[in-house]
Amino acid sequence: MIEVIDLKKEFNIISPVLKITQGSIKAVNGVNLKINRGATLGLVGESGSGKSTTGRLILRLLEPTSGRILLEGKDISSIGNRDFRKLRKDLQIVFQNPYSALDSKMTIEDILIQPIQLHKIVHPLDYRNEVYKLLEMVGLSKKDSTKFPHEFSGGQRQRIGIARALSTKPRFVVMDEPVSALDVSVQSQILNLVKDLQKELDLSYLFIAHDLSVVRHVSDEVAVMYLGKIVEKGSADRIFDSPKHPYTQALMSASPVPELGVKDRRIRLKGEIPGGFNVPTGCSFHDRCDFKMDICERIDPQEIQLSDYRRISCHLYNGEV
Amino acid sequence: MNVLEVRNLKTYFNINNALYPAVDGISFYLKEGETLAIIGESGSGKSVTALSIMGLVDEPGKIIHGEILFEGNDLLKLKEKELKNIRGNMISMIYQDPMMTLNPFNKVGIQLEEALLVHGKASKKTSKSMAIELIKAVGISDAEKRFSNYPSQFSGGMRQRLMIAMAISCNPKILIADEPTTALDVTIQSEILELIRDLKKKNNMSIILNTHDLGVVAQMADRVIVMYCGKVMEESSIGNIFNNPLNPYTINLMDCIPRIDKKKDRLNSIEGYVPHPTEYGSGCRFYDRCNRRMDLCNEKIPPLLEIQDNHFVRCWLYNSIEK
Repeated sequence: MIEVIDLKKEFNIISPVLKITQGSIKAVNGVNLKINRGATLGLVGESGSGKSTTGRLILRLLEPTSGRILLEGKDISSIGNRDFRKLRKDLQIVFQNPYSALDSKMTIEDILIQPIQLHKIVHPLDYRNEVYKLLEMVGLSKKDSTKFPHEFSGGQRQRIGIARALSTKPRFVVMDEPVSALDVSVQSQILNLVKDLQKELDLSYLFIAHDLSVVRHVSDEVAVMYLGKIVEKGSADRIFDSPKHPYTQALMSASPVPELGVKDRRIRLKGEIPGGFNVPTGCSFHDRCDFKMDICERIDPQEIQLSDYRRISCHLYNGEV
Repeated sequence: MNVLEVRNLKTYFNINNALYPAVDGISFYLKEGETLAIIGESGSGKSVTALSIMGLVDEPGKIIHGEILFEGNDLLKLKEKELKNIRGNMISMIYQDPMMTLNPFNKVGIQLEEALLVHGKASKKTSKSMAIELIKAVGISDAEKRFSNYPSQFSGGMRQRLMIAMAISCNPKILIADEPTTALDVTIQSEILELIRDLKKKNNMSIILNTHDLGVVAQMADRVIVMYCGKVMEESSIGNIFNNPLNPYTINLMDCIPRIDKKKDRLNSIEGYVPHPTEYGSGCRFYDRCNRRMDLCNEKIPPLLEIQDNHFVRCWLYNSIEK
C-alpha cells in the first residue's frame, strides 16, 4: 500500500543575523517502512525522534531531502505539485490538538464541505447529505453540522477532525497523536472509533503516539524510532512481548502499568535524547546504552532481519542473522 | 497524624454573574509521610483543589466555603502575610509545565537563590552554595556550571528537576504535584517519579499527587481520591481502588485504559463527555454516562458513604449497605 524507502529530511539551521547556513539537523535519517492495506503501523519514540516529521514527509506536507515514497507501487515523492494535488485526497492526516486543528470561524458543515468540494468527491447537490453521512459515521448527529468548533468538547472535536480526514475517501491516514490531548474516558471512545472505521473502510494507518499502551492497542506492526532512525520494527505482539533493541527495552520498561504489585523492572537510560546537532558517531544510541561495545562507537549498525521477521539495527544481534 | 485536613471545601467560579462549582464540597485528610493521589479527568477539580490549598485561586474563582487545616490552623482565615510564611515554605507545589513556571530571563541558580532568600532559609553569603546543593540534590550533574544557565538551556526533564529543586528548597512538609510528568516522555517520567519518591523518603514529606494516569498512581500512591465534576466519587487505599473499585465511574475508568502488557480486543468506553459546570443537574453528575444509572440518580446527588472500612463511595447503588 504505502512504502517508504530510505527517506531523509535535513533541516538547515540558518543564522538569523548572518543569513548563512550554520549547519543541518538530520530529523529523518534513512527510514524504511511498509504499511499494508487495512493495516496499522504504530510509530513510537521519545519527543525529538522524528516521528511526526516522518508522517508529514509521507504526506508531502514537508518535502523530503531524499528517498522514495511509493503509493501502491507508484512513486509519489518526485511528481510535481499539480499532479500530486490529485493524489492528495488519498492521503490524509488527523492532528494531535483538536482545539487548534479546526478553523474557529467556520461551521462544521463548511469545514467538511471544503475538502469535498475541492476534490469533487460528490455532486454539489449531494454536499449536505455527504456531510450528514460523515457526521453519522464518526458518531455525531445531523444537528451538529450548523455548530461552530467551540461548541464541542475535545473528544467531539477530534471526531470532527477524523470526519474531515475521511471526507475525501482516503486510502491512507496519518494519525499524529490523535488521542494524547484527550481524557482517558474519551480516549477509549476515539480509539474504538478509529479501529471500527479502519475495518469499515479498509484504511491503512500510520499511527504516531508516545503512549505505548495506546500503540499496542491499535497496531498490527510497530516501528521504534530514535534520532531519525528506525531501530526496531516488526509485529506488534512480538515487539511488545519481547523487545530486543536496548532502546525498545528501556522504553517499554519505563511505561507504567496500571496494576499493583508490578515490580519495578525499569531499565535506566543514561541522559536524555540529544538534540539533532550533536548526534553521536556510530550507533546514535551508544552513549545511553547499557550494552555498549567498542564497535558501537565507530560503526552505525546495519538493519538486519531476525528469524521472527523482526528488523533491528543493533550490533548485539549481528551474529543471529 | 494528619498534616492537612480539608473540610467541605467549595471553590466556585463566577461566569456571567452566576456561580458554578469547580470544587464542590470536598473533604479529605493527608497523613504525615503519605502520598495521596487525586485522580480525575479535566474539569474534575483536582487542580483547583491544589490551588485552593496554596491560596492561589484567582478571580473569577473564589473559595466560598470550607476549612483547610494545616497543623490545626485554618489557612483560609490567615492574612496574606501569614500565608506567605506557609506557602512555598511549608507547602509547595510543582506544576505540569516546567516551561511556564521558570523565568526565562533569569539564570536558574539565581531563581533558586531567590526562593531561599525570600523564605529566610539562607543568607546572601550561603545562598549560592545552598542553591548548588539543591541542583545536585535533584540529580543534575555539573551543578556549579549549570547554576548560571538559563531555563532555555535545559531539556524538559531537567526543567522539571529544577522546579522540584525550587519546591523542596525550604524543606516543605507538603508537596503538591499537579500532573508533574504529563508533559514528559515516559523515560523521563519514570526518573522524575523516582526522584519525587526519593526526596519524599529523605525529607519525610507528604505528597498530594494530581494525575489522570493510573499507571503513575499504581507506582506512587498510598491512598487515592477519585474526583469527578468537583465531587469525590470514591476514596480508599490504593489496594481497594485497584482491586475492588466500587463506584461505576472508577470501575469504568479502569477498564478504559489500554495496556502495554496485554492485548485487549476492544476497549470499554464511557459514553458521552464530562459535563461543563453550567450543565450540572440536581442529580449525580455521572448520571448521563453511567451504565448502572437508576431513576433516583437523576434526582438527588448521592452522599459519600463509608461502605467498607475506610472505603468511601458516592453512589446510590450502595445506599442500602451503609456500614
